[in-house]
Amino acid sequence: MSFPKRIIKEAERIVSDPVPGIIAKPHEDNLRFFDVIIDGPEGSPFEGGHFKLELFLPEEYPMMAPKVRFLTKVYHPNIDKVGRICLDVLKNNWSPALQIRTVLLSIQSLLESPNPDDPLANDVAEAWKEDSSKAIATAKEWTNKYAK
Amino acid sequence: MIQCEEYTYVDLPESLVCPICRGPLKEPRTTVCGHTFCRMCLFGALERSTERCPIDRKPICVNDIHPAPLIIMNLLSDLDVYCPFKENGCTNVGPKYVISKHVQEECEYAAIDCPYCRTTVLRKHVLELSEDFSGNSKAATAKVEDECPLHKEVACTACGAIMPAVDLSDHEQKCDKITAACPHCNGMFTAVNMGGHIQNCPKRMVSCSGRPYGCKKEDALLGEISSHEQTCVFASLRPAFEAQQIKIDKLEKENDMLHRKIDALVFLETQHPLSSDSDIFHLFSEQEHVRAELELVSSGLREFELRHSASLVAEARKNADEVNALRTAINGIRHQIHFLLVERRSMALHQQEPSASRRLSESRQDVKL
Repeated sequence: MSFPKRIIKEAERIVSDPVPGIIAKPHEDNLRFFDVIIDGPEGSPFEGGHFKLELFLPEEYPMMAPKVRFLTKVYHPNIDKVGRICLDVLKNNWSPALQIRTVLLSIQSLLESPNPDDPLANDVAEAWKEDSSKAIATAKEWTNKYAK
Repeated sequence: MIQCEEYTYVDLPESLVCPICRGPLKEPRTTVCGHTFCRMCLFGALERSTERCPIDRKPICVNDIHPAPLIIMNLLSDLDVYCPFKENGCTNVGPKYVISKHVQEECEYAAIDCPYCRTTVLRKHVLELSEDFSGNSKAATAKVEDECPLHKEVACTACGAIMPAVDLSDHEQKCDKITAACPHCNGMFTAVNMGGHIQNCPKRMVSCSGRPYGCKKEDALLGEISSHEQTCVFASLRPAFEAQQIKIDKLEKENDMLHRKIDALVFLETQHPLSSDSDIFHLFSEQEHVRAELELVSSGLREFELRHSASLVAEARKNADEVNALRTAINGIRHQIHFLLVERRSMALHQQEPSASRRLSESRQDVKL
């Protein structure tokens, strides 16, 4: 199977020069599939957790955004039950100048600053708006339960 | 003609990489907001998404895209590339235009059409063959008719393996049945092992590795030299010298590159100095013009404000006077009404009194009767 040079280069670089707190490993048989682990950012309710994600580069990449999904359960207003992520750069704000590493960094910062005003998981967003300290406690509990 | 579209750069600076395909810029195009991409990448990106610059998301349209400045093309063509036939063994490195000429005319490892049959063959095999037949070209042409001299099947004389003639010399380098004598110790080795043996052959005469840096030790057997190198000052300094040399080479190269950039910029400056100066002058005069106009407008505004507030004050005074006049008039009316009310009440009292006296006299008359 042959891959565009950009994908090969990105895969090489993300392995040899990883972003702090993010590990991305391409599948040996298909460089378009990545197994990703993002560490919960310090000071956030997700601190101490290691969140597994899958990342897939579609045929049209980099003209189309990569497809990213959380495999670990997360209590977060912008991440739903099946792990789909509500993030502008993954949808209509995608630009072909963005890369795997910038997308993963955006996801890391989404963990750091949840945005309940643009929710994907409505119940979590409601809980977050009503009583944020309780929601943060739940997020910590989930992190300890599922992301250790 | 040998087609080669893709060159591998020895060291490609990040500033000449297309942000979309992450490869060297191909047919670079620049947007109005100043970002440069490969032509195909930029148009591909505009086709897919809303028409925005992929870097800063500023709205752009096809008319806002122009070929990149010539300096970018010059910088790209000055960079060193590897010969595209590096995988076949060519070690040539140089600027792109030099390498493309090298590939067309002289690269021994370039894959060219076999002059005898319809397959491809490395140029060096064709060269070897023409040397073999030099002075006897008729024999060569005669052979063409029955069999291609490059691709006919031959057998290795040592191991008997059968292969196309072009591969024989490569095979002989590796064949483990062919042995040769070491030039130093006369031991017999296969071609594969010969290199390793010569490196370590105790009978080999070598010179001290510190020689280029000033060591005076004469050539001697390998063992003697290696024990000498343990104590030789020049040999121990060699890594430092080499590191310095690499650094110097790198700086010289960088300096060259900067020189070229400066030359190009100076050239641009001498080409269009007037237009840019006059542009700036034009902008300045425009700015002055706008400033004068703005001052005029603001002074007019101030005057208007003054006049307006004065008229407001006058009007307010007039209104206050009128209100006062109305108030006194109302007071007058109130007095009159009061007066009238009092009058009416006293009138009512007077009317009641005569009627009462009349009733009294009537009752008196009744008693009399």
